Amino acid sequence: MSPSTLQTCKRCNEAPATTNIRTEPACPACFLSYITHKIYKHLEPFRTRNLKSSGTTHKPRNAQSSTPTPAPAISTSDDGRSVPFVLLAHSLGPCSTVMVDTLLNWRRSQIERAGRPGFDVGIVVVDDRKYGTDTLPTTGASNAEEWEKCIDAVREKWSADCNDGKNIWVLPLDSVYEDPAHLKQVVEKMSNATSRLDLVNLLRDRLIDRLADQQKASFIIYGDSTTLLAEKTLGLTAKGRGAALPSLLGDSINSATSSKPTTSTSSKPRKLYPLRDLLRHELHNYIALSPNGLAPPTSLPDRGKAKELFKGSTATATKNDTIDELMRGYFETVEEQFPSILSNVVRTAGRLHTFEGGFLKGAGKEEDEFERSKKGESGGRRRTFCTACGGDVWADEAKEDGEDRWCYGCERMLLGAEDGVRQAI
Amino acid sequence: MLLPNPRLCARCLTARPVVLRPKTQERLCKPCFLLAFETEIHETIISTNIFTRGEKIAIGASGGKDSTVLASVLKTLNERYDYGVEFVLLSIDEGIKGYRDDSLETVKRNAQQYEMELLIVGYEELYGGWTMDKVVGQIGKKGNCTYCGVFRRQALDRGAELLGIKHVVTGHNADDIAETVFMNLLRGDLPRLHRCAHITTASSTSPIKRSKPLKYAYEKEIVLYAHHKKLDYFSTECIYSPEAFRGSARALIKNLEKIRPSSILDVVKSGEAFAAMTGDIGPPAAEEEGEGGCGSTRSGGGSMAAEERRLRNKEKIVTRGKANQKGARKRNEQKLGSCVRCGYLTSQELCKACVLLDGLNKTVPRVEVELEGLKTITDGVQRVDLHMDEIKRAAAAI
Repeated sequence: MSPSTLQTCKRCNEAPATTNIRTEPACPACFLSYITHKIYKHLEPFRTRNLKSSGTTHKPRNAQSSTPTPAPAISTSDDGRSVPFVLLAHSLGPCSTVMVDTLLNWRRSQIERAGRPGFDVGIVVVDDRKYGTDTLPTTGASNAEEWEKCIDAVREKWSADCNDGKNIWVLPLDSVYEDPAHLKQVVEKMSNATSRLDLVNLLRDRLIDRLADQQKASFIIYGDSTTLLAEKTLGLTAKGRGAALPSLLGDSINSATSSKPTTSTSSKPRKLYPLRDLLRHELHNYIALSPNGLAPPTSLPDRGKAKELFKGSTATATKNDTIDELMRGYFETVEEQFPSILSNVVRTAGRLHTFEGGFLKGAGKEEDEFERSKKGESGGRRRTFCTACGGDVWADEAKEDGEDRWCYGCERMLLGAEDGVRQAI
Repeated sequence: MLLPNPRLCARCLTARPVVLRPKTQERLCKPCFLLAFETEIHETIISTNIFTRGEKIAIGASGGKDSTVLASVLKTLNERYDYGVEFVLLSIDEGIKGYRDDSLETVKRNAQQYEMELLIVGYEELYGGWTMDKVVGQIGKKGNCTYCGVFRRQALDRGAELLGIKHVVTGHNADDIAETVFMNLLRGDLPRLHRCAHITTASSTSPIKRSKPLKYAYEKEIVLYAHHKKLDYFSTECIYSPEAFRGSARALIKNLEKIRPSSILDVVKSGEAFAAMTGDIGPPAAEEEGEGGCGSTRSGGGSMAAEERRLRNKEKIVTRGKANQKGARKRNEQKLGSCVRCGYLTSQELCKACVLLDGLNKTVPRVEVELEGLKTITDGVQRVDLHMDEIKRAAAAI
């Protein structure tokens, strides 16, 4: 919805407003500034001022390495100072494109201003096209030729920033298993479309996590908008994965704005979602208004079907639809009419406490939980992690230590699946 | 592995199946379905220990399918498994002509069928002549569920107190709870998110414990049970229930059920996980509404547009940096006392019902919450004798 041409921008009170910032009329310049400000707010860990000032020129990651073994995680400059390595998960969709563009341009400006960047970066694209559903492409680009073009565009544009292209990875989802044919067999054994997509999402995350571990990345950055995070929050809730929300959505729901750069190689990489304050349509708008010719490398996903799915209050969903599609359709309507409600979902999920070290973290309950757990009292149940998704699971619902544990959500995903899937996953 | 014969009941393997269970997709014959349904509720009751032997429990009865099935199942289970508890029916007459008067006739028949005492507490008597018909006449349909919810909650508490009961069971089913989980996520109500999936809720602002034995029962199965058991229930929705916030969550749940039938239960399970992940974070932002046995348990919640406006205003306040400190200070200062006008538990000078009544009475002479003249129904059922001194004692105890 664009404002009347007679209105002036509410922020600068000068230029004519051609767009909106939520409900306020805004000019393109103020709108672009608003978007970048919202993104930069979440990039605090990568500011050069959070690192010791060196005055030395940054050495690109892996620059010295000619051996095939993985390079050290943290780039170390001559005087021993380090910068965190950041892995960008790129879906080739418009939101991801904004994320990559903003982050890498910011990094270039860091080099210009401070003579060195605040972080090193790699880009990973998971090719899961074969396993997406017909109606909801798991990547923005579904056409093979177009997809190849997108990959070429990413390489061409960002190779210089990613260690001469060495830190750009295109991984087929099949590679999550040693035998590429194995994945297809597993996916086909699932009982319904939702479970298939659930498994694909889970394995995609697993593949990215594995690469991040191999590369000893400190952060994984996702280009999920508020809209997508709200969809995921309600979608995961509907799949019985409520307990896993903090671990699956990571810092999207746990504020990372005050965090310092992590340089430890022992800890797991943290997941960051710098677009979590921005709606999907705002990011699409940003692409359209961007003066530096930021064009999405791919066409926008078809949103027509998803929207139709939840039009009005008439129930139109069928067994062949997926929960993800339904949520997409629902939040498309909500995003247009009630953006504050949508943001509120992500904010609310962010207030859920996580379980760390097996016990409830936050709300001052750690000690209570621990003590009651030791005594075996009710309410003191110990939490542990699901073998498949890494989400929380009650230890007493799981098998003995050392054996596989499955959370409620993963059990539901496998409901009705053919025999042998559990072992195959 | 031999697959079960689809022409035979999946459990007894002898009779012809007449039900495809929405919850498990099993094909069952009538007796096996009824038994499976009852057994699951029994397991819920036993595993959560909601009843205590010797306890007297009120069933919040509206005459609708949920509360009728609840009364029928609880009577059956109490006899079958000897819980040693006594059930009575407690109904609220909101004063909605063409809806509640008809449904109350059903409740009266239920009381006779199940041989249970019945007490009906009316808004008209309790709130100085204000029935919901009159409230809607004054304020319109918009937001009327807020009045109804606050009034009902207090009416249920007062009714239970009059019966000397500390425990009320309501007919909230799995669909209702799943809707509430989504609704609370959407409106960001963490205190409610913390407890909406609990089977038993005890509030600091109410002396009465409330339980939901049908928590894991699908709405569709409740309808099937009522149908196959030929239960006498009233099926009209509340005529004042607007297209509310809950309506949006409800449509979402219905779609989810079509995609994956287990979704309803999965949302409830996620809600239970959220309870553990939120900790005890104080009272909800507003008084409870829609709880406590409304015939249409789906009412309440206001509209999406109203919620959007509320959130935008909240964002503005937070931006100004005032809200957090003020809210935190206010929460710390909350102290439970009695309403200076009617004696009901409240943390303010006036309880929420009296505040709402004040608003309604602006244009008419002031009335207060009254306890005199509460209706008692005795149609062939054990009589509930209530003398005025007892009523006043009960009021003082609330």
